[in-house]
Formats: sequence, structure tokens, C-alpha cells
Amino acid sequence: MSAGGKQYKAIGDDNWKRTDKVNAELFTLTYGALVVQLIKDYEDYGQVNKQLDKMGYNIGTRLIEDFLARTGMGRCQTFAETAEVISKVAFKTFLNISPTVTFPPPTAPSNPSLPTPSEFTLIFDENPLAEFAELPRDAREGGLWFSNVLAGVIRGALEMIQMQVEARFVSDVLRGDETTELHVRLVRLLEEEQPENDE
Amino acid sequence: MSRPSSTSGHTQVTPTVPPAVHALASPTPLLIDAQLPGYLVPSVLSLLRDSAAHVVRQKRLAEDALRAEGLLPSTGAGTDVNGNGNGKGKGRAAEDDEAELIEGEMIKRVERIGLMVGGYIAEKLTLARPPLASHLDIIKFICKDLFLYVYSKQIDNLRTNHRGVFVLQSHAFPPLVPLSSYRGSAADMEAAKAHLVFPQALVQGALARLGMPASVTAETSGLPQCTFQIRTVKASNAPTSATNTPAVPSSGTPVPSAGPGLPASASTGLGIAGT
Repeated sequence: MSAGGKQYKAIGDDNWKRTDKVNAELFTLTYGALVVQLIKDYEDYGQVNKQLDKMGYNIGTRLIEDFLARTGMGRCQTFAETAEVISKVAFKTFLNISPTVTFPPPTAPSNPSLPTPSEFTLIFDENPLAEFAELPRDAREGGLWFSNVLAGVIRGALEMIQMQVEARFVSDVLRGDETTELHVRLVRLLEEEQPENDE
Repeated sequence: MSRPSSTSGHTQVTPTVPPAVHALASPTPLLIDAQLPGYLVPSVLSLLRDSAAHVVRQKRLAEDALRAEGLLPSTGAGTDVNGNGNGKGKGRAAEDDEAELIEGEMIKRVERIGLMVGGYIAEKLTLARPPLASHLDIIKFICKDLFLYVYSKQIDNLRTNHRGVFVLQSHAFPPLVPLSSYRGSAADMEAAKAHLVFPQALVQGALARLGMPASVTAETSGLPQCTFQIRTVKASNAPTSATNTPAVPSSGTPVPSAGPGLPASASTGLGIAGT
């Protein structure tokens, strides 16, 4: 772990110690029931994914302020730093988990105007949202990303700090994959302006 | 203390269980930040409103399609002669009906989730204890343990008339604390209503699971105060949720009532006179 990494981990741990905590069950139960209801209503896993992402986006746009106020973190110098902060400070502060960050070789030809690396992957070895969840085969094959709200939260939060990203899950243990991985790709840096309200 | 348990006639004995097994039965709880549920519930509300809207519209489209094919009786003044002849007169009323329907559907959904979550939490919190004997004990459990678990705050005030009605008051009810509207206190009440559906259903679900079916209403007389009124159900069932059937305007021509199997939503289209 780099020196910066250790420092972020310390901040994250400290935040977690100081914050008020609540049992995750209420949250995961409500979230799970919500997903079930959405599946029943839309009958289309793609739509459900989109709705979860939208909800996450709305939550993320508000959560980032809470985060910045609580941690007093300054601006990150590089996107790589952003990735470290997200994984070690943000997730730790709110969900008490520390997903691992990896920087895979870029999937698209690198854009010279963007900082490198411009993509990262979060690997979750524990996911409180999916604590009691089990996907039926239909959902697994239908392409449901159960924890898609997390992708939306990252997208919303980063957009509030002038980074437009694409966040999506690439694998999920609930679907029978080996790992749960969330891929985040920086699309462009935003000017200081009204964020596009596409919700 | 010896108390007959519900399953056996023996006195209760604390089981001697190896700590490892006990740990399996009650694993260390996963904790998350206390603010998160506050972020989640409003988002759940808006998401469910959208999905309810989607369902209502789909249903309406499907019905219209069936009606066009003549599989459903046409709605009196509706689509027989002129497909959109009635469209304009119907437009405004139908929109309001639709909005009401959507609200109703959304409330049903939130309630369902609340009932389920309430029941689960009640069960989980009472697992290891002796069963709660009287209704008053159950209510006290709700006021103290359940509220503490869910909202990190107990109920401030409990009153009862000892005849099945309980009033629970919370002076600063956590879901209502961050609510405020720039439009003044009347609008505050409206907004609060939406946020009270979930806690109301939570309490109701918990009571039902504990063996005390009751009707629960949650009201606020001023943010962030909140009052829950619990009425135990005796012989007659008090209706709990507001599933109002929209009043059919009396000015319309009498319309042959649709078949018995027709869902309530279709009936809103009836009786709306085109002329």
C-alpha cells in the first residue's frame, strides 16, 4: 500500500470509529424488498437496473456533500487518488467495507485530455446490501445487477465534483461469478457549471 | 423465574450452549453509518412512485388494447363511435384519477415493504426472550426496543385508554426531523404524510407478527412531532390504508356496470359524460 493509501485507510478507519452506527439489516431488508417490488412492477431486468442506478445517482449527489463535510477532504490531484479515496475512505465511512482498487489496462484507447489512469475497478469481498440476498435463476440470466445502486451513487457523487464517469458492475457473486467488481471509467472532466439533470 | 412456555409445560431453563454455537446463531451484526437509512427511504418513495406509475399506465394501455379488440365491454360513453371523441372531456378527470391511482399504488407498495420489515424486526428482536404476555407489554416493546433499534430513539410518550387504544408520541421523530418546506406548515404536513406511510406500516407489521393485529395511523400535528394511534382490532376490522374508490360523478349517464372481475381502476373511466 502506498503511503497515500495508508493515510486514507487511517482516515477511513477513524471516520468509521467516530460515526454513529446502525444495524445494517434495516437497510438491506428495505433495499431487498424494493428490488423485489421493482422486478414485479417492471418485469424487465434492464429497466430495474436503470431504476436502481437512478436511485443511486440521486442518493450520491447528496451523499457527497455529507462526505466532504464530515471528512474535510481536499481535492484529489489525480483520478487514481480519487479511486483510493472512494475505496478507503468513502466506503469505509458509510458501509464499513474496504473494496480493493485495481487499475486494469484501459479498455478504450486512452484519451490524451484525461489523466491516466482514467479507469479503475473496485473489488468487493463483502457487500452488505447482498447480505441475505439470493438471486433466482431468472434474475441471474436476465442480467440483474442487484447492487446497482452503488454504481449510481458513485456516478452521482463524482458528477457533483466535476467528474463525469461511467460506473457499472462487471461481475457479481450473486450471479455466480467469482468476484463482485465495479468498473469506473472517467469520461470527461466537467466545467464548473450546472450538472446535467438527466433524471 | 418459572413460566410455562408455549411449547412445553416445563419451567424455562436457560440453555447451556457452547459459545461457538451461540455465535453462529447470533453473528456479529453488520453495521453501517446511521445516516444511510435516512438517505434511502425518500429515494425508495420516489422510485416506487415511478414504478407504480409505470404499472398503472401499462394496465391502462393493456385495457385499452383489449377494449379496442372488443374483449372488454366498452366504457359506455367511451370508444364505441369515435375513438377520441371522448378524449377531451375525459382527459382532465382521467389525469387526476390516474394521479390518485398512482399514489394509491405507491402507498400500497410502501406499506407492503413496511409490513414485511416490521414483522421481521419484531421477530428478530424477540427471538431470545420470553414471549410478551399482554398487549401492554407488546406496546411497550414497540415503544422501547423496536423504536430504539430502528430509529435509535425511543417513544417519548405512551397513553392508553385501557380499552384497546394506544397513543404513542414522539416529539422529534427522526424521519421528520430533516423535513421542511419553504411553502409553509401546511405543505409540511403533506410532505410528512408520504414519509409516515413507512413507519406506520412498520409498526403495524411488527404488531401483527407479535400476535396483536391492530390498525395504526400515524399523524403529525407539527414537524417533527409524530403521533401513532394504535387500535386493536376486535370483531370489526377497521380499514387501515386509504384505498379510496374515487367517487363516480353523479352527473354522468348511468353506465352499465362492468363485469364483476373488472379491477377498480377501470371503473374510473365510467360515468364520465362526454357531452
